[in-house]
Parts: sequence; structure tokens; C-alpha cells
Amino acid sequence: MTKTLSLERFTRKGDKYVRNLSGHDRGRAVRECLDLSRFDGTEERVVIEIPDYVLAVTGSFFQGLFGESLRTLGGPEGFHGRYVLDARPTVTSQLEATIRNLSVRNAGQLQ
Amino acid sequence: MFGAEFSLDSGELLSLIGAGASWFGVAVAFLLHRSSMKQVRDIRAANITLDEFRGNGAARLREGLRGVEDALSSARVLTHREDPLQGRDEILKQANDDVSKALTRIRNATTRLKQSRFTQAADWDGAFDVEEEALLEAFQRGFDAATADELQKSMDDAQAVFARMEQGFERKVEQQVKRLMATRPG
Repeated sequence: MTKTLSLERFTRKGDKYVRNLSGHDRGRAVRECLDLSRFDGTEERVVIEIPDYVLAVTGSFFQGLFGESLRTLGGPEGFHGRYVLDARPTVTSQLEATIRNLSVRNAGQLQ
Repeated sequence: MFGAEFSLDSGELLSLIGAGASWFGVAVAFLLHRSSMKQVRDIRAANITLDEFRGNGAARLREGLRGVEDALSSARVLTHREDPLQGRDEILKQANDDVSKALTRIRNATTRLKQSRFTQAADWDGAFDVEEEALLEAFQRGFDAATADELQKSMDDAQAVFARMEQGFERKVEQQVKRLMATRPG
């Protein structure tokens, strides 16, 4: 089964758009709103939809949003088995670069 | 008994000592040769590492930095217009997208540097995390700016963050080159 979670409600307010998702705390807050810890512990596949008008996601925001999932799921492979990141190509590349970087940085902790 | 079974005259004794000495000499020569070959290999490896770092690791970082700089220049075109807010979204979107690509190149470069045993000791992206955050927040303020002054301020902030980022990386590259030079054997 696949569940889709959109970040739209965190990135748009009327005609105001968040173009850049930043801040570890904001990532953490979104994680809690979406209750991602629950999905980390299930077999469900989760698609995270990042709206097309979002142009960048910082490493800190990603870490707040998914750092715990990466640890719980044992690294990039486990993470990709659970979560699919649906975003504009530049953002997807940015997120993949962050995942690789975090897995190198936390190699000791993830093993 | 012992003396009878293994009695040697002085000539035989000397030739035996001579044979031992020549084997010892061969062994010493072999060890010296092996040590000097290892030194040659170490120097070659260190030189390759240094060249590799200059031509690849540092070059990739600089390529990413140039990408950020170019994108910033495109965005700053807005601030020279009579009405900077006119057409702001389109120009900033393109510049922000380019910044995002360039930051990804920098991130990939720091990841590679952290994976190499020769360069992993340096903290390549501790400051970069903070600067990436500050740069993209400055761009966001540019999108949200209600006045030309606010837009100008956001672009100035982005420029200042970029200057810190560039200086920080150049300092780290310089330190890394010194470290690689210092660890070269011989």
C-alpha cells in the first residue's frame, strides 16, 4: 500500500509561497505534523510530495524532517525502500546529495 | 666429542663467517631497497593525492562556488532596475534554481572529500550547512520583499553569505594543501 503526504499545507498560504524550505526546527515540526515516526515503523510505502514551486530544501531542514527516519531505517537503502521523494528535479538532486552526505557523516551511527 | 664431530680449522671458520656476512649483507641491502621503494611509492601517492585534491576536490568546490556567484549576479540585476519588484518572481526563481544546483555541486564535493582518507580529517561542511541555510533564507526574503529596499537588503545579505562561504572554503583548501604537503614522506 502507498500513502501520499503533501507538504503543500506547509509551503503555501494564500498567494504566499515558500520557495526554500529551511531550518532544522521547521523540518522537525513538519515531521511531527505528518507523524513520520509512525510510518518509519510500518511496511507502508510513503510518497512525500514537495510542490513544484519549492526551489530548494536545505540540508538542515531535511535532517529535521528525515534524520530520524534515516537512522531508524538503517541508512539510504532502507530509507528509499520506505519513502519516495516527489519534487522538481533540482530539489530531488539536492535531497539525494544530502542523503549521501548524511550517510557518510553518520556512517558510524547508522551501522 | 663435540669438538671431534664439529671441529673446524681456521680457514673453514673464516669461510663460514664470510658466507654469513654476505647473506647478512644481502638481507640488509634487500631491506634498504624495500624501504626506499616504499618511500618512493609514498611520495608518488602523496603527490598524486595532492594533484588529485587540487585538480579534482578543490576544483569541484570552486565550480560550485562559481555557480552560486553567477546565480547571485543574475539575481542582483533586479536591484539595478527602476522598479526592482517588477518581474521579480521570474528572475529570482531562475536564480534560486541555479543556486540550488550549485549548492548541490558543493554538497557532492564535500561528500567526496569526506570519503577520502587523505582529506576526511577536515570539517568540510560544518560551516556550509549554516551558510546554505542563510543563503536560501536570504533568497526567500527576496521573494517576500514588499519594497525595493527589502529586496535590495535580501540580495546584499545573500552576497555577504556567499563571501563568507567562499572565504571559508578557500581557507580550508589552503589548509588541506599545507597538510598534504606536510605529510609527504622524505
